[in-house]
Amino acid sequence: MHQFKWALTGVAIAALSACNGGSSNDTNTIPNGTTLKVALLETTDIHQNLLSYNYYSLTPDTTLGLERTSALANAARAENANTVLLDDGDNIQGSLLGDFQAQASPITCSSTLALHKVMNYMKYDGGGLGNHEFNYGLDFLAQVTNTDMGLVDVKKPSNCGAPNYPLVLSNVEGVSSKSPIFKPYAIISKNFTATKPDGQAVSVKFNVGIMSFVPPQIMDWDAKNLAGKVVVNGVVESANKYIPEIRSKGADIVVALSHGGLDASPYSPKMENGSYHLAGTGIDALLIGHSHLIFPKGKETGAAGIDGSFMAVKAAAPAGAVDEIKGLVNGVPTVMAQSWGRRLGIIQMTFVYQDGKWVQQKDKVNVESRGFKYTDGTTIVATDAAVAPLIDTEHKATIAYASQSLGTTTDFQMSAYFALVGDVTAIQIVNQAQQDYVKNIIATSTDPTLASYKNIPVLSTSAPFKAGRNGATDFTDVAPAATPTSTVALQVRNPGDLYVFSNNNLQAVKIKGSDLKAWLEVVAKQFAQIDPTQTTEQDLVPSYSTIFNFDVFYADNNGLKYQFDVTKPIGSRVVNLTYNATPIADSADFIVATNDFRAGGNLIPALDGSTRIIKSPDANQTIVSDYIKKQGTLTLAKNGSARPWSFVPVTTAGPVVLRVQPGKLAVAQNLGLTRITSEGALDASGFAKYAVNLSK
Amino acid sequence: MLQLKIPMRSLFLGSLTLLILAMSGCDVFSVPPTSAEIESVGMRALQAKDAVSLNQLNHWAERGVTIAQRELALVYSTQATTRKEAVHWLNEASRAGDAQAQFMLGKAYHQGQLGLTQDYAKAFSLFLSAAKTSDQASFMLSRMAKFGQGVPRDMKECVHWLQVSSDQGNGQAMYLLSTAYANGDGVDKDPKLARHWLEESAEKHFPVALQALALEMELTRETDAHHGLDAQHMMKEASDHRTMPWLRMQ
Repeated sequence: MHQFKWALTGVAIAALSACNGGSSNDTNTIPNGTTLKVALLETTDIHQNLLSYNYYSLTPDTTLGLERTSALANAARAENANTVLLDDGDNIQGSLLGDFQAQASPITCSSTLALHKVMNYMKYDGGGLGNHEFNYGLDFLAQVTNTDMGLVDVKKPSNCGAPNYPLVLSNVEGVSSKSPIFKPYAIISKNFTATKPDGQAVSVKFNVGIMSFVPPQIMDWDAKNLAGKVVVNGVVESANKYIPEIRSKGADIVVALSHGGLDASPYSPKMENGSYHLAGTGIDALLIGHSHLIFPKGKETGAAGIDGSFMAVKAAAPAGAVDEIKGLVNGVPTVMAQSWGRRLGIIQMTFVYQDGKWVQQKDKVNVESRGFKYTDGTTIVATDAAVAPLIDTEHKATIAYASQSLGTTTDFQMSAYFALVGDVTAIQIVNQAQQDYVKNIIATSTDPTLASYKNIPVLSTSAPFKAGRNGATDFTDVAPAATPTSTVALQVRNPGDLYVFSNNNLQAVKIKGSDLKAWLEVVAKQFAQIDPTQTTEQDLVPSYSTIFNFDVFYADNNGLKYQFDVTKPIGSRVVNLTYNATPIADSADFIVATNDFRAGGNLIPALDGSTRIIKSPDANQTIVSDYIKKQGTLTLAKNGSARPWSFVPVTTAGPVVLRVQPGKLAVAQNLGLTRITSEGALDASGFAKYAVNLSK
Repeated sequence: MLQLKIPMRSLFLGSLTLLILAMSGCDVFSVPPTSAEIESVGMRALQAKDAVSLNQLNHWAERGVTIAQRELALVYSTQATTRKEAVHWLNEASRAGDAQAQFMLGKAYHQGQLGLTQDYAKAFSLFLSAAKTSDQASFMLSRMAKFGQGVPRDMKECVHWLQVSSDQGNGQAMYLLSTAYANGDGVDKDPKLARHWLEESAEKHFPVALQALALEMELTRETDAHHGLDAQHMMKEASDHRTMPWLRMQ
């Protein structure tokens, strides 16, 4: 019975509504020729950007945030008497606030997500889902939307805090239930004000049918949450399945909330961006998202040009099928409101009442993707002041969370000031975490290829990501006060200080000894070629612009050793490369734990993706955080003193300097880095020039 | 309402039965299925592993429907016990000219997967057949030329295929084409084209390109006020989509 619920309801209502002529309005009171103007308002890809705030830098960012989108919506409602506010998904995941409420401090059933508090306040009329809604698993999604998905292994929430508007999803079903896991559509009944031919206002009922679609790729992106539980269907097949039902239930228009971009390739149900083809299914308006772009071209002064990808779609589609200025796709009004609340999509449509039906006036359509600077191209819209107080507690808790204890102490300062003369205090722990992760994958893998790598040494590499690139104070410095007698408790934020790129996933490559040598030669490019006979000052590191490429390797028992001869030209500086005190053969195999940027970034020919053996779904940041939590205590002996490299000693006639943040000589001295002999004058950018003795 | 429900339900069940009968009918060619219909059944077979969809695919595949052969191979390739069947149907679909099947079979030969022995010559010829429409196949040709797999090592040939694959929309090829122009590797050095293809690749959300471009723009944030914010937003973009873009990477 359960599996036929939706179809049955549809048929039953179709039969019922046939009795009153299929219209939701009484034809006696609405004269033919009555005009109705409706504005569909869209948000998409909010990604938990509620306040105009950046949780990574802990600074305001006035270019994004739903508190300003709400102001856009208020303005649009003032301009348009009859509005329908809809969201196109990808809203519960994205910022630290989202992770906080889902993972760090998961909200309970009785609470409502901060996001939904704001959206409820904004009086959304309906919403769809995006692929990221599945990131935290089905139990969490079921709870925060108070939805019984009809799946045996997913919790059935009871009166949990949730959106107070309907959420729909039209192309995902339970494997065994064969029923949609959300309502596949909803019909939103609005009381609107229309204008009779005599100019008088009249109140009318207008029914807006909404459907929503996610990319079929969710089955790959969230395989661990979805495999075996749900199936996803093509967007066009799903639209065709429900549109007649929605119309027969009295919808005056059907709106597709399509969490996918435009792609004019021939239709396949496997398409990631199937929205173009939805425009041919008989829907009346298309609210799209997923690709975080602006469609149609912004109308404000100084608006950016239309994204090139839309022009490519236009070129591939039949002539006239895509109008990137008017916002039409196959004649269907279409809008994409970028992402992070930065824009509000507005589709203004006009209908004329004719013999019991609202007939859309195709020539009276106006589509806009409206940004914060819509008034004059420069003034940023003020926030809706009512939003921030609604979620003040959650906002503050998120910020406070970053300062909470991680449960692990350190007995040493973890800094990057002197990473370019050998210090590894900010790098080794990252390498240990990455190495541990990869070793564990290989040891426990059931994949025959990975399992066959068990006897290959696993190295790890990481770099001083934050080391002077953005100015004289831009250096990693975690727990500066830590000493063996006075340890410091690490905070939740610290793994992010040690591993700054939140976008990186861990990956591992399998390379040859010759590749390792080539890799280190590129690393050594960070150093200037030092002329020992020069009597004037020489910079050891002339620029920090690509310092993120200064990879420092790590092996068990500090078994990998190498030296840089900085007097030699680029490409011939790496000497005495050994593993467990044996010179490394060109043909030797190594596995290196690193990140996606390195594994596919083409630093050397072997790092073009072809040697990648592990593509982890886990972020390097998370892996570092988890590893540190497991340790309990970090010590210099165990986690900060395994220096794999040194300089080939050379006596120089003149001074050699390293530019570092001023006032850090004691850091070098505490670490026993005798190569740093004194702190010198400041340069024009505020760096102090520390003297380096390369003979040590 | 209740009175209505009962007859309606049996009516619906009846029509569903008819539909199933029609789908499993013996003469599939009386109404040839569209590629979208076959792929829909393929998706269900892959995701739900249900016998009805699998039987349907088998039925079509046995009667020479190329797309069904490829979809069936996709399902079979997910389990070690059905690798032979996967290879069989990939061969059938490849011979009939299905570019996706040619690419998959080419990958299997290139990596020595699905129980096949690594065979660069076979892989190259399959990728070559698929390269007319498959950006991924073109990409693999660039890789084989770069490392001299099945063909002589030739960076110019590598760049040629990177260009083909980039023109077909492959973000990973765009990134490597960018680095080829930046380093003058197989092509004349050209910083402008290097930047162009880096931006194109970032637009395709190739994660490496997003980070590389953000890092480049960060350096010019003092001369161009937009760049600092753009760089920050690009990294935020990359973080939002951290787990998504690796599927099609080789």
